Amino acid sequence: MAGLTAAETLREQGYKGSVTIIGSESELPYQRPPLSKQFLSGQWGEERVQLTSKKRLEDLGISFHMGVTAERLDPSEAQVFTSAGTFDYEHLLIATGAKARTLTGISSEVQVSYLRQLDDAKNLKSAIKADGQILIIGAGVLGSEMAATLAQLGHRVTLVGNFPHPRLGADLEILSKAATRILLDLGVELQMDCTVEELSGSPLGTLAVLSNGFEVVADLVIGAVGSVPNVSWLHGSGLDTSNGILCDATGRAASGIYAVGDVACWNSSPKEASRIEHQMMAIGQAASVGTLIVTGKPSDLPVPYFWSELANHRALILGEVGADSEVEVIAGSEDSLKFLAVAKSKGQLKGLVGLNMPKEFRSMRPVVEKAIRANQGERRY
Amino acid sequence: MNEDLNTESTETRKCPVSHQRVLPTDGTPLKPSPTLAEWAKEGKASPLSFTDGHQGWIVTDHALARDLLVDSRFSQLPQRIPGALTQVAFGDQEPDERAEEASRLAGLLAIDGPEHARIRRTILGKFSVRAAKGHEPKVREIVNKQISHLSAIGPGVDLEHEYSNPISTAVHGHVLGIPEHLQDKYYRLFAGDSSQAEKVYFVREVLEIKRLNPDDSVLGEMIKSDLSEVEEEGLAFVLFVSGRDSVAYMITTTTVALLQNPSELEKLRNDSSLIPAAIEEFMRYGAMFLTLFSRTATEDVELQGFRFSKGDSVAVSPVAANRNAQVFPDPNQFDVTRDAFGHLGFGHGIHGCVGQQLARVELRVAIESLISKFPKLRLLEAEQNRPMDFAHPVATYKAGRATVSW
Repeated sequence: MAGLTAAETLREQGYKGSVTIIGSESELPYQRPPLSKQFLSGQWGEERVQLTSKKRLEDLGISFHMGVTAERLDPSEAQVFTSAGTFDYEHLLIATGAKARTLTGISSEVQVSYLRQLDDAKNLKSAIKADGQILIIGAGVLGSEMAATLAQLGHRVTLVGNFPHPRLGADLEILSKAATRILLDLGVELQMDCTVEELSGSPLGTLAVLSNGFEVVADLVIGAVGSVPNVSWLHGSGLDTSNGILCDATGRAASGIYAVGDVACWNSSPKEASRIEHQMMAIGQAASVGTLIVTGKPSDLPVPYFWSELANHRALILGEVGADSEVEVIAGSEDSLKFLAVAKSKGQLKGLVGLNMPKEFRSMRPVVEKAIRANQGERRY
Repeated sequence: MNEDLNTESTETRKCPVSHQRVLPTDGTPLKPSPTLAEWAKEGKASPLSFTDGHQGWIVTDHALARDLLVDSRFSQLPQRIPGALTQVAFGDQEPDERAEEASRLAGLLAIDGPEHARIRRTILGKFSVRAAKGHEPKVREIVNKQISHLSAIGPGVDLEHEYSNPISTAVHGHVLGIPEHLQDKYYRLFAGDSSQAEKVYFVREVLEIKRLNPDDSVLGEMIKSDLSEVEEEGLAFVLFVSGRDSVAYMITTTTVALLQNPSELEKLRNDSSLIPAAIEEFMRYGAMFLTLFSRTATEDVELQGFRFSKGDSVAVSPVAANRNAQVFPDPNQFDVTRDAFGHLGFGHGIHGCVGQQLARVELRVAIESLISKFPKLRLLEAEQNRPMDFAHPVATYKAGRATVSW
């Protein structure tokens, strides 16, 4: 997504040089957010998640190498070594994303599935048994979404999370409570505030022993415990990859080298650098770097924005919200699972959160976005 | 008591290095500067360092302020600004000499006596109570149009940007007589960012049109009078600029005050006949001017037991005077039913706001319509709740963004 956006931006801005995209996956660029929802549920086929076509890439003069893995970077020679030979570059944009964090300390007879890529989603779909028990470990946005999707399809699902409530991407009580109700209504068994102490094989299936004493026997175990930036190939490149690729506020990691999307850690405010793993931010960063390379000036980044879907419920989140946000419901109500709320910090507007009120959210969004921008101080999103 | 303080302060004044007291920036429109409140406790006036470094006074007492503003021994000249910026009129971007001369001649706030009176008189009739009442239907039409606009784009809006500013600009343009087809340009140049030169050229463009067809608008009346062309240009410039932002400021700030004081808002919702008198409380409580243009004593003057020496610069503070507990008991309480007459929200005396009757009509209609059309109006955030830069070299508070929903 980010790589493709950057390439398209370069062309839009009038870049005349050659543009090459190297991708390790065996598909053209696709959207990730639907994988845990519409694609997993079978509502959407593969063609709906695809972002571009060979024809379009040819028309834009973008050369695309599928199934090619970057293996090493040599900045001094401006060369990338890959599974298909060496590529020289003038500008290098790294958008290698992140991979699923894997569960550790598990006996070898236990199979754990993860969902990150289109292949994973396809494998997951074929691994689901009609009347099986599914155990999902990790109750963040991905785990919660998968739990809702699978429960809606009629599967028995247990969701384990190590905090008190499932989280929909932002640690907001109002959203966590709503997610809890929605998941319980769908028949998901919630095991919260606990961890998995042991996973082992048993004649009936995988046996999971939870820290609260409960045991679950599952036919399918899915891990959703976060992500790890794909930076191992950059070992020895000299780039700081301690938490993704450290970049300045415009995405520059080193002379002629940029990073965007899940793999990038932009120093977006003087005080902190952060990795923001949202599709909209990846697109914004990629467009900004593409513009920077051509014009010398970065384009504005979007105010953080993302959404989550639990079965038919849709949550929209704008801005910077977290556990310390002061949340005020301005329309609808928590009880009805239909609300619009603003998030403030010290009286200043910082975010907008909506559940099942898309029209109202759309109408409020511009003015709240304007206020968030005005309140963002030195932070460059 | 004041004599003692005065003597002491006069000593202080001779020692400019050790006691620099500049205009405090710790206030907001509805919670005015605590520093200023401290000064008001010290006495009727306090020493103040002006931007050019000279020492003068800031008057915080209500009675002294009112007396001073009608005392002809205080001159508007030389115009010295107590606030943070440099010059009032043309700053560093002078379009040409004529504009500079126009601003000098008819910068109504920088001239005294008969010359000022002659120029002010040419337009005074156009701002009478009767004239303002006559504009009410048009004001209502403009406000209704803006209410529809809010309904169309809302429920989330920035009130200052989508309501207050468009209303004050449209009314201003209508009353002055800016031709319909130039109203958008007026809004763009005078409510948005533009250079001084752009504004001056726009004023000339409008005046050229009005000279061909002098109607009974304010500008038309001015053209028919015996002012010289340069005086006309200067007066027109002052009229184009002044009051437009203040009315917008008052609409926004009053709304913020009402939404933050729900019981007061309830009173007005239950009985809209309270609104006309409540306007005075709006003006008292949300006063925009930390100080007015400063005056200079043309001789030694004693007022209210306070002695000013010839040459002293004196800046009157409406914000401080409006919170005087002797005149307005429990002054920090926003009370829409109190008798707030005598406030200095429009200034006072011969230099008092010429458009105050019109402003009262605008504020009344704008507030009345807003609270009745949006019964669930709520404030999400008001930028003005924390201190901002002054809006103007004369040290005025800014309304800022006021994000509301309903």
